Order: sequence, then C-alpha cells, then structure tokens
Amino acid sequence: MRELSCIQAAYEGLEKEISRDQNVYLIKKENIFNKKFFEVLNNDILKNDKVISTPKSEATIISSATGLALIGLRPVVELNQIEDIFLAFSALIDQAAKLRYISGGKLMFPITYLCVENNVYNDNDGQHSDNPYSFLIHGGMKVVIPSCACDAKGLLVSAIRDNDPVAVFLPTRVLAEKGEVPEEQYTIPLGKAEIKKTGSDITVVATGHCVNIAIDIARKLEAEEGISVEVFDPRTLLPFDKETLEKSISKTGKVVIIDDSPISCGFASMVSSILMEEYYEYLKRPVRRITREDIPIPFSKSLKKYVLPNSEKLENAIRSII
Amino acid sequence: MHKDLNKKKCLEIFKQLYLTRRYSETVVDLGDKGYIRGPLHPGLGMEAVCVGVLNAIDNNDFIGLSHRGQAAYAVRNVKIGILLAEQFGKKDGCNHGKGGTMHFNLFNEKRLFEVDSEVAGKVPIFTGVALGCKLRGLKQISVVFYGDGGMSEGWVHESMNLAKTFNLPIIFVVENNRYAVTTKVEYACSVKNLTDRAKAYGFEGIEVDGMDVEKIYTVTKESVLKVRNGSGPINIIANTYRFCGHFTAEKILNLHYRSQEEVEEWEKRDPILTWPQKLIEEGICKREEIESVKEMVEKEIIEAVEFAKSSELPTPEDALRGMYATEYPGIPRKGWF
Amino acid sequence: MREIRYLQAVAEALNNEMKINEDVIVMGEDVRESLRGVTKGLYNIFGKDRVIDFPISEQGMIGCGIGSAISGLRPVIEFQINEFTFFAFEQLILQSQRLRFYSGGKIKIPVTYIVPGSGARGGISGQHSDNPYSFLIHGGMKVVIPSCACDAKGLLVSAIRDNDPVAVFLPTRVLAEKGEVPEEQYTIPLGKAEIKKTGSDITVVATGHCVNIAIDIARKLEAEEGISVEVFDPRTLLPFDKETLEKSISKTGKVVIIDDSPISCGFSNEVAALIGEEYFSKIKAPVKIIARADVPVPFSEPLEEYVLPNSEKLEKAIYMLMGRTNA
Repeated sequence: MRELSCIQAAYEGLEKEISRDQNVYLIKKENIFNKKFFEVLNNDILKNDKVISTPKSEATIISSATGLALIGLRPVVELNQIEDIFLAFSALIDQAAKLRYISGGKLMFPITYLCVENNVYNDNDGQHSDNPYSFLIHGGMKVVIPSCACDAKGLLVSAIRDNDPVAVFLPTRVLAEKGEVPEEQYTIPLGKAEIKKTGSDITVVATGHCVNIAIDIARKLEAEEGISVEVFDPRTLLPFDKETLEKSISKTGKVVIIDDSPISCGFASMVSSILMEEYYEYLKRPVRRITREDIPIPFSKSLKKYVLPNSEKLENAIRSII
Repeated sequence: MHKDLNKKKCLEIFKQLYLTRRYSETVVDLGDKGYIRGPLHPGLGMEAVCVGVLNAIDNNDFIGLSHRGQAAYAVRNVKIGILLAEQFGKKDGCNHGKGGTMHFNLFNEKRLFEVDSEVAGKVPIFTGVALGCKLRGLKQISVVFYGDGGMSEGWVHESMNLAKTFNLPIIFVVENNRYAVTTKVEYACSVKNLTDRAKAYGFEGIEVDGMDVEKIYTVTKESVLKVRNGSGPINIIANTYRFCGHFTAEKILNLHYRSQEEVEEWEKRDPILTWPQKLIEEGICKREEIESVKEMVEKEIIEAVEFAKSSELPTPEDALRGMYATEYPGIPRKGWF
Repeated sequence: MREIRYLQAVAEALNNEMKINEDVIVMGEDVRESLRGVTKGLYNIFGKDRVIDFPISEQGMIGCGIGSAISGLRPVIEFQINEFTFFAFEQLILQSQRLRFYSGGKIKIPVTYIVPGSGARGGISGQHSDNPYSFLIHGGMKVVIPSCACDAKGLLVSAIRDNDPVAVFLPTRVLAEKGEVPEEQYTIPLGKAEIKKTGSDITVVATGHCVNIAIDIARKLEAEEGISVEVFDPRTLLPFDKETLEKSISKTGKVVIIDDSPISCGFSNEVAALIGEEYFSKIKAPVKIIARADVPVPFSEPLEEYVLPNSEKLEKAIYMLMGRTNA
C-alpha cells in the first residue's frame, strides 16, 4: 500500500468528499502559511470552486458557517491558526454547539472544523501554541484527534458525513508522519477507540502525537524491562469510547493518561474522573496524568521542555505506578 | 399610499400590527401571572419595522429576527398558539420547550429564526445564509435585524465587510430604538449618522422613519429589488422607539435613563394608532372594518392562550434528546448516574 | 451582626474598595444605571471617569481593561451576561491571562472580572444560563465563586487586590440570600477553602449555590439517618485548596462532588482527577459526581430541573456511597 503523510491523507479524504457531495464546501482563510502546507499536497484542491477563501475575520467566518449549514450546506472550515478558536469562541460554543438543541432538535448543523495545528512544535510563540479541544468538549461539541495518517483520512470523512459540528484536530507533530493509507474513500466511525499496542501491565491513554510517544516508550519498556504497556488511542474525545477503556482497564488495573493540553479541567481530567466514578473497582493504583502545565507556553526551548508532556515524564509516571 | 398597498393589504397590515401588539401585551400579562418564566423583551412601539420589511420581501426570504421582532410571526401567518406554547414551556411549542422566548425557531417552516440571546449573534450567521444563497444561486435573500446596541459588536463590522467583499444578497436592518438597555445611541456610536457605517464599508445605508409602515415598505421594496439583482448588501436604519422598558423587570430595578415626556412624545406616533388613522383619513377603509379586525385578533389571542394552557409539558427525559443529529451511545452525558 | 443580602455585600465591597484605592475603576455595559445591581450608586459617588459605560463591544472593552491595568489602574470589569465571556475569550485568555508571563514577569495585570448572576436563573434558556468558569480554569485564570454573603465581600476584595486577572462568579441563586457580613472592609485569601459543615462519614465538595443544597441535605441526613456529611466549599476554584481537601478525605474516605457546570471537562472532573492522582489511597469508594448534563440549559421548567444538579440527586449519591438504598 502506498504511504502518505497525515496531512496528505486528510486532504485526500477532504477532496474526495468535496467532489462526491455537492453540499460540501471548504472555507479557508487566505494565508501565506497555507502555501507551505499545500506544497506537500500536490493536488488541485485550491482550484475547486467549492473552496472559498476568506478575509481575516475569524469570528464571523466561523459563525457564517453556521448560516451555511442552516440552509443545507455542509461546510468544512479550515483553521490553521489555533487562536482562531479563541477569537471565534462564541460562534463555536454558544452557537454551533447549542443551536440544534435550542431549536428543539429541528435544525441540523453539519459543520466540520478542520484544525491543522501549527503550534509550539514549530517554534511558534505561546499565543499560537494551544490545543484547545478541552474547551470544545466542555461545550458539548464532538472532537476527533487522529494520531496517524490512516486514522486521519477515515476520521475526517466520518466527521464531514456526521450531521453535527465536529472539530478535527490534526496535531503538528503528526502532520508529516507517513503511514499506509488506502486509496479508496473510507470512514472510521466516531466514538471508537483503538488499541494501538496491546499489553497487560498498564494502560496508557494517549491522544494525538502523544500516541507515538506512548508507543515508543511501550516498546522500550517491553524490550528492556519486560513491562507490558497497552496503548489506548481514543481517536474521538467526545463521544468517548468508555467500553474499550473498560476492557483495557479491567485487564491492567493501572492507568497513565498522556494528553497535550493544560491539566486543569482538561481531557486527561475527564478520563480520570470517568475511571474514578465508573471503573473504580478495576483500579489498583492512582491514575497519573501527564499533561501540559497550567501556564502559557514559554518561547525558550528549555523552558518549553519543562511544561510540555514528553517521553521522560511518561516513563517516570509508568514506573511510579508499576 | 404605495401602489402595492391596496385596501386588502392595508387591512392585513393593520391586523399584523394589532396582533403583534396584543400578543406582546398578553405575554407581559401572562408573565406577571406566572405562566411565562424568564425575562420578557416586548417590542411595544416597534412593530412597524418588521411589518414594513417583511411585507416588502418574499415569503421565502430568510429572516434573522431580534428579540423585538415578534411582528414577523404575524406577517408570516404563524399560529400565535405555538409561540405561546413555547413560552409556557410546553412540548407543542415551536422549539418543543427547549428554546423559550428568546429562541423561537420556525426556520424550516417559515424561514424565521430568532437567535437572540447573544447581541447581534445572528448577524454573522445570516451573512453565512446570504453566502449560501449566493453559492447555490438561490433567488432568496437574507434579511437580519439587530439593534443600535448590536451595531457596536465586532462581528457586525466583520459581517458588513464580508457582505460587501463577497457581494452578498443581504439586507442589514437596524431597529434603532435609541437605547441599548440604558445606554444612549449617541453615547455608544462613534458616528452621528448611523448610515455612515454602511458607507464606510462601501455600500448603501438608508435611514427611514421606523414608525411609518408605508415608508419602511417603500424603502425595503426598492432595496430588495437591488439586492436580488446582485447589487450587494444594503443597510436600512429604521428609527423607532420602544414604549416599554428593555425588559419587564425594569420597573423593579428602578432604572432611570429616559424621561416620561420622551416616552409620551413617541407614543403619539404609535403605529397602532397612526396606521388606522391614515387608512381612514385616506378613505381606504372604514372604522367598522378596523374594529372588525380587532375583534378577530382578540379571538385569535384567546384561542392561542387556550392552546398554550392546554398543551402538555414535555417529559423530563426529553431534556437529553435533540442535542445531536448523528447519535452515539453515551452522549450527551447526564452528569449524574 | 447585621444581616445583608449577598448582592448588597458585593456592592458594599466594591464601593469601599473604590473609596480606599482611587486606582480602582469600573467598566461594563449599563454599569452607570447598574442593570445587575453590583455597581448601583457608584456613578453618582465616583463620577464618569471611574465608572465607565461601554458600547456592546466586549473584546474592545476587555482590551481596554488590560491596557488600563498595564498602565497602573485596577479595573473591575462587569460582564452583563455570562456568555459575554465567550465574546471576549481571546482577550481574556490569550491576552490578560498570559501577557505578564510573556513579558518575563515585568508587567502586572490586576484586572477583576465580575460575572453577576451566573448560572441558570429559571427560564432564561440555553444562551444565558451558563456557568463558564471551567473554561477559564482550563485557560489558567484564577477563579473564585463565593457561596454566601460574607465570603462574597471578602473574596471580591481579595480579587481586586490580587495583582493578576481574577474572575469572580456570583451565582444567580444566591444573590438574594441574606447572611451576617462585617461592616468593615476585610479580605478572604484566595486559595483557601472552608468547611461549611463538619462531618465524618462523607465529604461533599460543592461550589456556588450547590453549597446551600449540600448543607440542607447534610442537616436532613444527619437528623433523619445519622449520616454525618462534611460540606467542603473550595471558594476558590483555581488555585484550589488541596490541603484542606486532603484533610477532609483522610477523615471520611468518601467523596461526592456537586458542581453546576457541564460534566465533561468541568470543574467536577478536575477535583475527581486530583483525588485519583494524589489522594487515591485515602478514598475507599468511587467518587460520585453530580454536575450538569452536557447540554445547553433548556427553557421549560421540567426540562431545566432535569439537567441541573439538585438535592434529590445529591441525596441519592450519598445513599449509594454509604451503601444504603434510597428511602
């Protein structure tokens, strides 16, 4: 099977959906940064007349996607600066996530927010470095975060075909990672986690690029010390696949959660609280969280290292529990 | 009188004005009696704006309403009963009890949506609707209502810029009732002539007397023609006034930001009084015909209240339904076991 | 000691602080007439330069607040409606919360954000009923939520005197509650929880108006069933008082968290995760959470009641943890 990078796979899926479904449109901000990414894409997506370039008015663009959905379109809004989510916070949390419910369940908003992250791992400063998906989860919006090229294409297609707002985060450190990607259009259902590596001693719940960190550490610990680590990739953060988590935790009884967003009220806290409330009887040890600190991301590399999740922290956490 | 406004139309317009007024007054009364919960923002005095605009556009055009746009429902022949049922929290309400007074949704049925908890929140949404109309080559246009207060909101400016840049078929209607709760428009707006805002973004701004249905109708009719022919956006500033407070709780809060004399001056121009007066003076219809319309409206109101009272409340578990169009097990999470 | 209403206590705190410190200014929408009651009368006393009405431009208003704080003032900014925090979210989190850090600690931004009447007021529906503090906590901002009049005055004063942005949430369901409030100006330090009722069988962590629900249930269960409930009010959500929580959990070994914000990634999850990570050995039973459902607050009364935390749900949770069936 041929190999594509994560971003190529995602955009291949996107392009095919645009061609397949007359209602799918791509809304993107005209931005120099785009060109760098589109160089790797090697396709004609920009020439499609269902691709609309907009000025820099983030809140309005994202809110107007709600208007497009209102009259039957299925907009995909591309966000390549994560702070756009902050600027359009009201449009996302107070409009897109709420309006179907408030309308009495009568209206439908099949919008996809494609968040191509260009953040701290590309040496951007702290105001371009967020992973704001925990905010969207708290607002009740579906969130998906693939960790590899194959998942990226299938999940993005499912997100576009889903009839609700879905935010798809493509993490920076995964964008260029290559993997085998089927040529045909396919879906990976939302709400279905995947065990990326089976194990029996400890479950590591990992999101985005932290999945790769977890797999590396898992292989290392198995080879060097015979510790058998199971890597659980939720893939969809909301709806979260509790059943697969239960299967894993009932086997291992020990959990470390590694997630690249701030700790307080973040996704890691949500998973931990599910364990503490619903699967407490399986737990034999404390539930450790490896996340970002609750502070802005500093610019200097050494300071950055201190605040971000990384493999040493994960390894130490695993050892502290085993 | 405008050539399109024949006797039948003029009487219909009076019915729409009067029905809206009586509906709003009834809502306030029902709120006082405890049938309707939550804050109420009637648009007493502002009926002419919606009536004038909606009569001048097509029934299929998309409308984003403000919280004082109750007249739109009368124009589009919405049964008042389903609005009241919604306000009573009943499941036969237009939002099945989920939305309440500030979120009436009749978009699929009548192309009307009141998304108004956020100030001017519907402006970018309906800019998006206009964009959709253009992308699909639809004949319909988008009309969005907001107030003088909402004019200061950031995304209104972004929407106006976008509407002109993309040449969108949208009419921005400002219901300028001179106050954003207690803040005067002279205090909050950087320009004296509100039409300068549209001009700054490169399109036409038209000021009109918001208490005169015929003037609003005329201006809208001309604007719609231009917009449907691809002229791009137009901004209508309708100068109007609310006789009531910002919301019904204002009396209790004891807010003093305008004089009683000012209110009384504007009440002299109440469209409920001036419109029938004009019709009678111009010989378009007789007083008995006006009275007959009033009787019809009173009957309709009584029926609507009966309908709302006798409708059922939703079952509590309905609160977890209707969040997602594509469902998955386990969401929305309950928050308790 | 005299008893005054919660809202009065807040207004008094602000009034006094403005007298003491002329750098304190008030910004907001309709704060001169005072729609929300917190700033009533301040315009007449302190004038147009210290009580400023803004047009409906939240981003611009918060930006002005940040700028004036950097240049030496101490603005208190009122959000007329809870969800206006969303409009200005970028300014709140990316700017006011972070600029001090990015300046290398050189500037300070002593802003206080007040959200009066936060939460569901009964019939104001999904776009006016939020308790958005979990968003701010995730953004790293200090957040306080006083549950009674006495705490409200002291915490607001501390928030104003704090040299960082602090968001003060005044829950709508306690605004009219009376309580004993000292006349003088006083502070209650941030980051200090309070045990509102001692007990030994079970700890209930409660925020805002849920503290009163918890106290009522605690009294009822003690009288009727002999269950001894300890009510833990964090008062400050960030920084959270872990030490006091540890003491309580060490005693009881069982926890119910009742919090009026949506469950997923809400404050309730944070407390549960903290217990799971640092105090796992001290608890003997699952943690139980009573939070809002992950939906906007619906309008109709039976629907609204269903999704919000309430006393029945709390009582049932306590019974479950105590191993008894519900009466």
